Amino acid sequence: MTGPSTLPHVLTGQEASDWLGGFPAREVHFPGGPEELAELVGAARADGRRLAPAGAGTWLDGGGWGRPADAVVSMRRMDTTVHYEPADLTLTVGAGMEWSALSTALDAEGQWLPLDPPGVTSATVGGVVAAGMSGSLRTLYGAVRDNVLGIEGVTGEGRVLRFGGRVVKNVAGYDLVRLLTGSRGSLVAMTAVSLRLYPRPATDRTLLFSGGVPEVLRGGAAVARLPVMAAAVDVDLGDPAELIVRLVGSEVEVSAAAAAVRAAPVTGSLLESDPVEGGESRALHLRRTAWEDGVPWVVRCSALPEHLETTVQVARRIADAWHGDVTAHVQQGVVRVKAGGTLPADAAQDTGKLVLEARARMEAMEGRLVVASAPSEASLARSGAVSPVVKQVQSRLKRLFDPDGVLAPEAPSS
Amino acid sequence: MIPDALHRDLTTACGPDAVIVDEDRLLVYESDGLTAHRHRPAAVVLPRTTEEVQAVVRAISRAGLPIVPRGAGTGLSGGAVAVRGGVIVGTARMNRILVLDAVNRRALLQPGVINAHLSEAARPHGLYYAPDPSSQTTCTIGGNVAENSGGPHCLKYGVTSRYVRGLSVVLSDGSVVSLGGMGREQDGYDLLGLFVGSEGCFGIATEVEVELLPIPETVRTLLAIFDELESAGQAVSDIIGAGLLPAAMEIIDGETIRAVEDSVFAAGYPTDAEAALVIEFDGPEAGIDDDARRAASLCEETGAREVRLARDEEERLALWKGRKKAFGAMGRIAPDLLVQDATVPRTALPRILAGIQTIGRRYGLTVANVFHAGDGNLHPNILFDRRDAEELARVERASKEIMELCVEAGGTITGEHGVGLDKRDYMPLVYGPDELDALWGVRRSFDPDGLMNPGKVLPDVSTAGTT
Ligand SMILES: Cc1cc2nc3c(=O)[nH]c(=O)nc-3n(C[C@H](O)[C@H](O)[C@H](O)COP(=O)(O)OP(=O)(O)OC[C@H]3O[C@@H](n4cnc5c(N)ncnc54)[C@H](O)[C@@H]3O)c2cc1C
Ligand SMILES: Cc1cc2nc3c(=O)[nH]c(=O)nc-3n(C[C@H](O)[C@H](O)[C@H](O)COP(=O)(O)OP(=O)(O)OC[C@H]3O[C@@H](n4cnc5c(N)ncnc54)[C@H](O)[C@@H]3O)c2cc1C
Repeated sequence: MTGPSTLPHVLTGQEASDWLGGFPAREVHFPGGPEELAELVGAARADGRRLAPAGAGTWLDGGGWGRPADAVVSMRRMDTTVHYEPADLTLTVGAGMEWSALSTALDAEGQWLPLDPPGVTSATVGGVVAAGMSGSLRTLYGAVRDNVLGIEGVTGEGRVLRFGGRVVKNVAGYDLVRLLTGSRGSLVAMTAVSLRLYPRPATDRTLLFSGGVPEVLRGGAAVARLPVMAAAVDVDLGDPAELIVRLVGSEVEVSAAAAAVRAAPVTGSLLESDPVEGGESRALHLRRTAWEDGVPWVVRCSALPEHLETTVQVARRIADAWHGDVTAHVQQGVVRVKAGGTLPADAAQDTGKLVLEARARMEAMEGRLVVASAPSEASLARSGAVSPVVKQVQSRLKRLFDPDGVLAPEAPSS
Repeated sequence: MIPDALHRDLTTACGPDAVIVDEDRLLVYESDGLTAHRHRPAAVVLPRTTEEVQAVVRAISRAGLPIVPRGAGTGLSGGAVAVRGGVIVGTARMNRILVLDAVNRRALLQPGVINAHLSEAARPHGLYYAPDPSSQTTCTIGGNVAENSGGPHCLKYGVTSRYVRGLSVVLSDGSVVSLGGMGREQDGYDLLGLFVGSEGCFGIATEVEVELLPIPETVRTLLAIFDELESAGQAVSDIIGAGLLPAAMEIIDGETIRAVEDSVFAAGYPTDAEAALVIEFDGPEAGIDDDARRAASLCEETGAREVRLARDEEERLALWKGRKKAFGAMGRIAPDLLVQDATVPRTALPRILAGIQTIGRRYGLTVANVFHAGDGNLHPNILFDRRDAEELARVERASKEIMELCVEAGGTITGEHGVGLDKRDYMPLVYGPDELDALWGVRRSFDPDGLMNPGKVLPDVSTAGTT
C-alpha cells in the first residue's frame, strides 16, 4: 500500500488541459506533502491566485461547489499508508490514495471500508471524504462522516491543521472532523485522513427480483421494514423494474435473512433470478456506484422513506422529460436521476421550470432536491434556499479557514 | 442575584414558578456529576418550549450574562456548571416525545427527554434508541447530544452523533435554526454533525430528531474472569482482531470488583480476580452461538480462568450488574472520585493498563478501572479525599501522567465525557495553537459574543489566539 506515485510535480499547457478534462484552470500541481502544499497555498495567497483542491479529478466542480481556479492542486502524490494496525480496525492514509488500491489492500487483511458513495471506483480517499456523499450502505454502517476519525489539511492561510485522531471515540474539542468531511475543499485541502474499518463479512449475497414498478417499490419498502437490516435495498426503475437486496454477515445469518426477505410481503409476487455471491455481489454494487458515470445531468431527490413512492414519481417526471433513468436507495428515501448528453429539444427549454416544480414538491414533503451535476449553461440552482442564519454561520466558517478565498470551492447558498 | 429587569423578563417568558433565584434551591445546580467543581449560578430558568427558550436567551443576552444549558446534570466534566456566573437554562420541563414515527424509524424529542424513556416508548414498535450511556435512566437526550455520549453498546452501534438526524437550535442571539433532518440529504456544511458534541457552547438544542433501530432478535452475554488485567485487555484486542463484532465489551478491574462485592450491589464476581470482562453479542438468532463460542475460546486462550454464559435474562442482568453499579459502589469507598475518560487504540490496551497501574502505585493511589474496553475507552477512577491537600496534589499529577501516557500511545484525553471545565487545561496535550485557534473561531461562528457556556472546553485565548 505504499510507494509514492511517479506523477510529475506540475502539469501545464495541453497536459494540464488533458488532466482537467474541461475544468477551467491553467495548471495542475501535485505537492508531495502538507508542507509543500502549504507553500503553494502561501504563494497563491500572496499573488491573489485561487486554487482548487482535488483528488483524481473525477468530479472537479464538486457538484456545484466549484468556482473557476487558477490552478488545481491534486493530492495524488500523497498516497502512502501513514499508519495501519489491522487489529485496531483503524487506518491513516494520504488523501491521494486511490480508493480501489486501498480496498484491495484491506481485502488482504479481511477488512473493508463499507462506504459506497457515487463515483467511489475512480476516486481518491480524500475526494470521498471531501465530498462526504453516501450510498446504500449508510443504514447499516453509517455515513462517510460517521467513519472518518481524523483529518489533516492545509487551510487557505497555509496552516497545517490536524483534527481528531485514530481512535474510535474522541470528544476532545468540537467535532471539526465532521465539519471538514463534506466541505469539498472549501475550508482545507486534506492531506491525510484516518478512517474506521470493519471486518469483511464472510458472506456477501445479493438477491435480485424483478416486476412492475409499483410491486417492486412496495417490495422494497417491505424489505426495508423487516427487523433484519439489509446492507442495501435498491430499486432500479427500468423495464422491468428490479429490486436489489444485499445481505452481509456469516453464512447462517445471511441464509436466515434471505429467507426473511423472500417471505416479506410482495416479494413473493416478484420474479426472483439467481442471487449473486461474494466477489460478484461486491462487484455488482461497485458498478452501481458508477451509475452516473459520464453523464452531464444528475439530480438527487430525498425525503423520508415513507414518501418513497411520491419521491419516485417526482424523479420520474424529470427522467421522462429528459429520457433519463431512475434508481432509488429505499432505506434512505433517496432517488437518483441521470440523463445523457443533449436533452430532447422540448425538455431543454423547460428544464428550469421542471426542476423548480420538482423541488417545490420535494420541499413540501420536507425533502430536498439537489442538482448534483448539470451543464453550466443550464444555470440551475444546485439546491433550495438556505436560511439566513445558516448562511451567516457558513460564511463565517469559510472566512475563518480561508479569509482570502484562496481555496476555490464555496458552500452553496443559493 | 440577577438584575430586576432580567428577573422580570424571565418570569414574563416562562411564569414565576419556572425561575429559581432562591439560594437554597440553587445549591442543586452548583455542580454536575463531577462534584469537584462547584459554582453557584445567579439563577436557573426552566422553559417549556422553543419559543420560551428564545425569549429567555434574548433576555439573558441583553443582560450580558453567561447562558449555561443544562439537562439532568449527570455530566462528568463540569460542563453544566455556571463557572462564570450567569443563568442556567434547564431543560427539565422540555421532556415530551413529540413524534414517534415507527414507519421511518425515527423520533422527534424535546431535549429534556430521558434517554431510557425513549427506548421504553419505542419498544412496543419493536424499535429502540441505540446509544446507551450507563447513566441512561437519568441523563437527557439534550445532554447526550451536547457531549456526543457513548455507552457500552456503542462498540457495535456507534455513538450519539450517528443517530442524531436533525436539530432545532437556539443561538445566543435568540435566533432559531434547523439543522439536518431525516429525509433531507446533507448539502452544505455538516453543521448538524458539528453541533453534536459542542458541549453547550454553540447554542441550546430545543428539538432533537433521532434515528431508531429494530430491537435485535436475541442476545448472548458472557462473563470472563481473569487473574491479570492485561490478559483481559489482550482478549479484547484478539476478539476484534479475529473479526468478531460484539455489541459490547466492558472490563471491570480487580479494585472495582472488590468495591462492588463489598457493597450492596454485590454481583458474585470472584474477589481475588484482577479483571472481569463482559462480552455481549446481539443480532439474529442465526449464527450468534458460534460467535459467542469463538469469543469464549479466545478468552480461554488468553488465560481466562473461567467463562460464564448467561442462560436467561435474569442471569444476563446479574452478569451486567457489577459493571452497571461499579460507579455507585466506588462512590461508597472513598469520599472523592476523579473520573478519567481517555481513549487509546485497542491494541495498546494491555500496555496502557499496566502503565496506569504503575503510575497509581508510584503515587500511592488507588486507581479503579471500569471501562468500554472494546472501544479502547478507559475510565481509570482515582479514589481520594479532597480534604487531604497533599493527596489531592498527587492525584492531579497522576491524572496528568495517565493522560500523557494515553496521548503518547496515539490516544486522546476524552472519549465520551467531554472536556467541560475539567479537562480544559489538557487540551494542549492533543492540539497545538493553530488547532486551538480554529476551535475558538468555530465557536465564535455560532456565538460571536461568547455568551454560551463560557469557561468550558477551550483554554482561555492567549495573545496568539485572537483572530
Ligand atoms: C460517476 C460519478 C458520479 C458521481 N455522482 C455524484 C453525485 O451525484 N453527487 C456528488 O456530489 N458527487 C458525485 N460524485 C463525486 C464523488 O462523490 C466524489 O466526490 C469524487 O468521485 C471524488 O473523486 P476524486 O478523488 O477524483 O475527487 P475530485 O474529483 O478531484 O474532487 C471532488 C471534490 O472534492 C474536493 N476534493 C478532492 N480531494 C480533496 C482533498 N484532498 N482535499 C479537499 N478537497 C478535495 C474537490 O475540490 C472537489 O470539490 C460522483 C463521481 C463520479 C465519478
Ligand atoms: C453513573 C454515570 C455513568 C455515566 N456513564 C456514561 C457513559 O457510559 N457514557 C457517556 O458518554 N457518559 C456517561 N456519563 C456522563 C453523562 O451522563 C453524559 O455526559 C450525559 O450525556 C449528560 O447528560 P445530562 O442530561 O446529565 O447533561 P448535563 O450534565 O446537564 O449537561 C452536559 C453538557 O450538555 C450541555 N447541555 C445539556 N443540555 C443541552 C441542550 N439541550 N443543548 C445544548 N447543550 C446542552 C450542558 O451545557 C453541558 O455542557 C455517566 C455519568 C454518570 C453519573
